[in-house]
This record gives sequence, structure tokens and C-alpha cells, in this order.
Amino acid sequence: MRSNVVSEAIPGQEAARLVARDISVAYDGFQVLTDVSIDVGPGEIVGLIGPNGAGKTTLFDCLSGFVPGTGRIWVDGREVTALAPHRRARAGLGRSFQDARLYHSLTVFDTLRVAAETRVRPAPVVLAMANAPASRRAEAETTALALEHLEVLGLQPYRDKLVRELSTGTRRIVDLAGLLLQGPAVVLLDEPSSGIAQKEVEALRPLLLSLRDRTGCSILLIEHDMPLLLGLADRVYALETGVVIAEGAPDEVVHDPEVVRSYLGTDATAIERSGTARHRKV
Amino acid sequence: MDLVALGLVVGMANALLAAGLVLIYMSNRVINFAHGELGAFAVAMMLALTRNAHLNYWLALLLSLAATAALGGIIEKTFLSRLFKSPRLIVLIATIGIAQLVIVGRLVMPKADAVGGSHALAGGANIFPVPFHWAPVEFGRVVLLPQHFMALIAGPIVALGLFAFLRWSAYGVALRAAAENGARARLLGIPVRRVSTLAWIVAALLSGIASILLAPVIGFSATEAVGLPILMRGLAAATVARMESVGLAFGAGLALGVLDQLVFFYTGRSGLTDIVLLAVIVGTLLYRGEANRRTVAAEESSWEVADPVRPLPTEVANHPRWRALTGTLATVGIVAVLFVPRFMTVSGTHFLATVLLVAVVAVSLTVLTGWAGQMSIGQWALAGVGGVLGAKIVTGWGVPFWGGLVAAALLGGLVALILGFPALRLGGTALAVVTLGFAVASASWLFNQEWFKGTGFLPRPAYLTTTVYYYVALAFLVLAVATTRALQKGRVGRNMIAVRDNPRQAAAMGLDIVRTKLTAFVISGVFAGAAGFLWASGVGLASSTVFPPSRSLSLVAAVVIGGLGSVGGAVLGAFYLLVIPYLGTQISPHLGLISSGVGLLILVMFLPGGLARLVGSGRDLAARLLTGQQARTPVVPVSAESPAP
Repeated sequence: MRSNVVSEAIPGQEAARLVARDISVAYDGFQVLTDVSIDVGPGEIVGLIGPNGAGKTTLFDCLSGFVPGTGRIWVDGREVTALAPHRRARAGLGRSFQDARLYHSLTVFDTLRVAAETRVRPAPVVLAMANAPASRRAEAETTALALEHLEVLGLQPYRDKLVRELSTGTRRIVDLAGLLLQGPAVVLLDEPSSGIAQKEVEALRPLLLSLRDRTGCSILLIEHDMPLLLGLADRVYALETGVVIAEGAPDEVVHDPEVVRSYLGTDATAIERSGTARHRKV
Repeated sequence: MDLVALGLVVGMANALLAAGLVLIYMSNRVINFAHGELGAFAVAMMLALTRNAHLNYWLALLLSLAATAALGGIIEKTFLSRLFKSPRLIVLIATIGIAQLVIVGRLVMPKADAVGGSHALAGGANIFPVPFHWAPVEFGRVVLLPQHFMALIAGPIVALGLFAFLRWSAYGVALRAAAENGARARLLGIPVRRVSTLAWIVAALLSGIASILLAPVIGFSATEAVGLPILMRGLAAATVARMESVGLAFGAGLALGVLDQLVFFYTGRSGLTDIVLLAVIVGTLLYRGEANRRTVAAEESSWEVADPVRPLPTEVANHPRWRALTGTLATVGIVAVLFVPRFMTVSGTHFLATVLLVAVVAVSLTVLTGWAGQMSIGQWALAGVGGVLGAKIVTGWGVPFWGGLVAAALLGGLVALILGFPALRLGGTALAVVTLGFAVASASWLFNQEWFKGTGFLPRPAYLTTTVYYYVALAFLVLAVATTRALQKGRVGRNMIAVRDNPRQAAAMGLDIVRTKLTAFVISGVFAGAAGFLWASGVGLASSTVFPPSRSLSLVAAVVIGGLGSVGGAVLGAFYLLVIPYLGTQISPHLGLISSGVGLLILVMFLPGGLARLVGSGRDLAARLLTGQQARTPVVPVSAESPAP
């Protein structure tokens, strides 16, 4: 693996927010991902689809540094391949998890203050113990950021609630508020619609769009809810058994015969929810 | 070959102990910290029956083993079955409480020292009964006594019986099925709970047999501290076997016995057993660090407190009547602690000072276990590092007392940091095992090393009279509480909890997990080390005798009883544990263990928030009565679709 030098220009991708080249991951001799390459351009929302076990979450885990693999990764033009997860986060890689568990014994307010880690320069621990001015300043800055983002997403009523007291839907919003606060260059969203009610899923689209528009970040999105995905994505990658089998505009990819065979099937209801429609596309 | 034979004698006992631990782990998914105590109970009963009641060996054996097995069954029925669905670390803490109660059960038995004359019963068969007597047999370089042959013969018989039981009896099959997949086994109609009771009975029996075989070989002291070393023997072998194979555990136990003998023979030093066991445990766990991930995931949910104490809403906290009340209480409290020495005897003041210092160690454990979620069962040993090594620096190198205090704090932090590195790769239960090993090995080995300990004494400077000492301890506790509270309210405490609750999420938010955890270890070690130094200077002693591993268990009890994660709770817990036995010595000399054990069990079963929760509820009630306002702001429900885009 290469060290974390600022990369030489990647041909044709100078401005790309996330570049992954030839990512391969193997667990216990079992090949989960094979030479997956992904690009996410500035402000782009890119979908990642595929059947269960295709390796979507493993790809996210590898990109964010939780699962070792081969290949190279750049975030915002900087190579992060050799960096630990928290350093990737500081380099501008945001990440949500499928279960959005967050921290069950922290309050919503504190969860957002934790998310400010990348934004506020912390005071040394010794100063924090003495509650010295430097530490209080950093705390005040953190608190201001957290309050601001509570307000942006209308979470004030939940301020002092513990995360474990929240519904999955509300937890996702706290999660998004945290990402908004982190202000990453690119966000990996792992199935934001899972575990929440249909009505809330429909509310997700404007939320995700506002996440992008407010922070100017790019989004790489795993999503099984086709109407949501098609309403958001500029481009889609389809993954099957660890290999990219199709890539391109959403309409092309969902009609790609390979994708239909391996993932979507021929039933039109899989991609068009009754009542809502694809005309919501950006 | 001769050494191997001797090793196998000890190994046989290790093996039986390990097999029992694995059995309980299979059925309950928990390491039974009372395991060694069950064995010690059997031994104490044997002694009482043969020495005091003058019973025939075989009759006494039968009665002791029956009583131990029954005890195992009763424990399971009373406690474990009620905690069947609790988080596993809570169950682990419950077994600590059980261990403390079993110790009491052992200590209230008539003492055999009526015969032996001394409290300690070292010396093997001269005191511990053996059914056979024949001339010692020389075999190569070793002399084999009847008790050695007993172990060599009885061990395999018991082992064969156990294997036959697990392999062919319906219960054995059910036990293995329940261990493999409890929920599935229950769906198939296997009475998983009854199987668990049986596992405890069998395990208690194994521990009893092992300890009775071991006692005449290695000697047995009737003090509090005997159960933990017994536990360590089984634990090391069971760890090697990944807690999942009785057969492997058995083999590992035998091998460890042989290793123990070889180390003893070739170094010529006794007392290395525990350090060998610790090395084996740490080595095995680190080698397999990744493989343990599965259990870690299951334990992540272990630290939640059902209803934590929250800060009062600002409108209540700033209410004039509430401020008047808290102001008055604070003033009264400050005056009381400042003037306590005037109204108390010298010994009473001295006692209070030591309680304050133990409270500091409890606070240090709160940072490590309560926030960072790193289970430490060796906190008193960390205090011991500060006390023993600090004393060496003061008495041996002529460093001034306060220099010694600073050195003790730094050394405590350093040793905690060293303990922290394996912890980065280990989950809750594994770390508990390692820190317990550290506590046991430091008391039996480290604190007795010439290069580590000084004279074993730590005199206070003359101007540190009891009263001054009290104020120093008080100031130190205030400092510890103030600094940890500052951390708790700010980034450091928050990040520790985040890393504990969900390390991956925390890393994705940019938190440095390694650094956060190690910070917890260092802060914890600094306070523990300094408190240990001051504490040792209070009793004047700085040796293994005043830093026993059993107090590390008591400290876990203190922070759990106080309310895990609460700084004030830790202080309360330390007072609860030490003051009750101090006031009630005339009721029972074992009141400390009783209140600790009972307190722990009541807490984990009925009041998971601890004393801090009780006080918190009282505060909320008082605030409401006084200000007429709700102590907690009601939450207006907002659903996900409404927030502003």
C-alpha cells in the first residue's frame, strides 16, 4: 500500500470527490469484491445496487477503512488508502451505517457534539481536566455547531433524549444531522430507507438533497428502494458477487438485462411504487 | 518424565477446573468468577468435617461434594436463572457477587486452625486429610506422596465419567446442543434452563473435586484470597480452549500443570505459577484477538443503564427555592467534611481518610469501566503499583514523599497504558480475565520481587498527622471528582462513551479509537496509582498483603453498586462497601463481603442504575415538590417527515 501522499492526478478525474481503483476484498479465502472501481464526481449522487451478498456494504467498509483490501482510494484528491478509519473521516469521508445505531447511551445533543470532532480543534486532555479556557472555548464552539444543526433538522424537541429512545426514523435524521455537521466531501449512505416506514422514506429524498445542497458533498448511496434511488441518483453502479456488472445513467442500468436478471427481476412494481412515480427525478 | 508426573498431578486439578468453567460458559455464556470459590468451599468443608467433627475421610468427602454440588444448583436456581436474558457482563458481575457470598459461606465454617494453631494452613497433608498413608515413593528427581497418586488416579476417572456423561447421556447431548444454539435448542423442546442448572451442579462438583485433590499437594490457606488463584488455574486452561471445548480445556489444563512444574524446577523459584498463567492467557488471547470478535459484538449492549440520571432542566436548576436548598446542602456538606476530624477519634479519622482514597480508586475505575467500557478487575493492583513502587522510590532511593506521590501517579498511568494495549484487541470478558490475571499475579509475584518492592513499608512524613492526612485525602478526592466531572461533561467523556457504544460509528465520525481508549487507561491509572501511594502511606505498608486481588473485585462491586458511570455513584459505592462493615464489625466480621455480595446481586437483578439512580430519583422528586415543575422536560413528539428541509 502507498503512503498517504497527496496523489498524482488521476487521469480524467482531477475533480472527483471519491475515486476507488481496483478494490478487492477477500475473507477467509473467499473473494467478496473483485477489482471494483468507482468514481463519484463533485455534487454527484451515485447509487449502488445489487442483490444481497453482492458486496455493497463490504465495499463501503473497505472504503471507510474497516475491512482490509487491495486497491487504492482517493478522497478529495488525497490518497487515503493507508489511513485508519478516523483519518479517512478527517480527510472528508462521511459514512452512515445501515442500522443507524449511533450511540445508545448518548443524548441527541451529545451525539452531534461527537460529530463535531472533525470540525473543532480539541484542547489537550490535561486542559480539559482543569476546565481551562482553551477547553471551554473548544466546548463552546462544539456546542454552537451542535445547536445549529439541531435546529436545521428540527431536532430541538429531542435534544436531551437518549438515542436509544428514538425511533429508527428519527435516529436516521440525527445521523444525517451529524453528517451535515461533519461537512464531508463525500458521504457513503448505507440504505437510509431500511427500517423506516414508507411515509418516512418519502421524506428522505428532500432530506438527502438538502444534505448535498447544504454541504456541497457528493453521495454514494446503497439503496434497495428503487423509487427513492431513481429519484435521487445521477448515476448508478450495479454490483453482483463482488463485480461491477453495469454502470451508467439510472434508466439504462435498471433496464440492463444483466441487472434485471440478477437483481430486479421483471416485475415492474419493484421499480415503480404505486402512487408515487419516477417523475420526481431531479 | 519425573517432572512431568508431578506436573500432571497439578495439571489434573487445573483440567477439572477448566472443564467446569467451560461447562458453565457453554450453558450460560459467562465466565463464572465464583468457580474457584466453589472449590475453596468444598476444601474448607472437608477441613471442618475431618478436623473439627473428626469424620471419616470418605464420609466427609461425600458430604462436602454433595454440599458443593447443591450449592452450585442453588446458585443457578436463585440467581442465574433470573439473569437468563441479561447482558453477559451483568451476569459476570453477578458471579462476582456470588463469589463474595460463597467466601462468606466458607469463612463462617468452623476453622480448622483450632487444630493447626495458625490461621494459615500451608503444608499439605500434615494438616489436610488424606485417606491413604504409605511411604513416599522416589521417582527420579521427585518424591511422590499418596496425595499425588490420588490425583493421578482420581483425575482420569472423573474425566472419563465427565466425557461419558457429555457424550452419551441425554443431558450431555442437551447441554452441547444448548451451547451450540440456545434459542434453537429451546425451540426443539430442550429444557435449556434445566440444563443450565445441571451444568452448574456438575461444574461445582468438578471444582470441588479439583480443589480437594489440589489442597494436600500445594497447600491451602483459609484466608479470603484463596479462591482467585484457584480460578486462575482453570481460567488459563479454559481460555486456551476458547471456552468451547471441554476436551481441549482438559488437555490444556494438564499441559499447564506440566509447564508450571518445569518452570518451577528450572528457575528454582516458587510463586511463578500465576505469572505463567497470566502469560498464557494474554498470549492466547492476543494470538486470537480477531477470533473473539463474535463475543464482543454480543457484549456491546452490556453497559446501558436503564434510566440514567440526567441533569435538571435549567428552569428547575435556576429556580430560587431549588438553588437555596442545594446551596444550603452544599454548605452543610462542606462544613461537615471539614470539621469531621474534630468530632471523631483518631482511628475513625484515619479510617475515613482511607475510605476517601479508595473512593478515588473507584472514581478511576468509573472512567475506565463506566465510560470507556473497559472492564478492569485489577484496579486495586494498579493502585498497588503506585503504592509498592512509590514506596520503593521513597524508601529505597531517598526521593521525598511528594516526589514519590508524583512518581506513583506516573507509574500507575504507565502500567495502565501497558495493560491498555492488549485491551485494544480484546473484548469485555477477555479483558476482565486479563486484568484479573494481572491482579492475582501482581499480588503473588510482582509485588514480592526484590527489584519491585522496597522495604515493604511506607512511612508518612511526621507532619502528616492523622488529621492532616485526612485533609490530604479529602483534597485528593475533591480533585479527582472535579477533574473527572469536567471530563465527563466535555469532549473526553463523551468520546469515550461514543467509542464504547459504537466504535465503528465513532471512527466514521473521526474519533481516534485507540487514543480514546488509551486515554481512559492512563487517566484511570494515574488516579489509581496516586491513590494507592497515599493509601499505602496511611497503613504504613506497601506490600502484596495490602493490595490483594479480592479488593479489585470489591472495587468493581463499588462502582456497580454506586451506579456504573456515575462519579458521585463511585464515591457512594466506596462508602457503602467500607463504612457498613466498619460500623457493623460486631454484627459479623464478614459484613463487608456480605454487603458487597448482596448489594451486587440486588443491584444487578433489581436496580441496574445503582445508588446514583436512587439519589437521582430523590433529587427529581425533591425538585418537583419544591419548584412545582417537572424535573424532566416532556418531549413533544415530532415524526421524521416534519423537519424543515
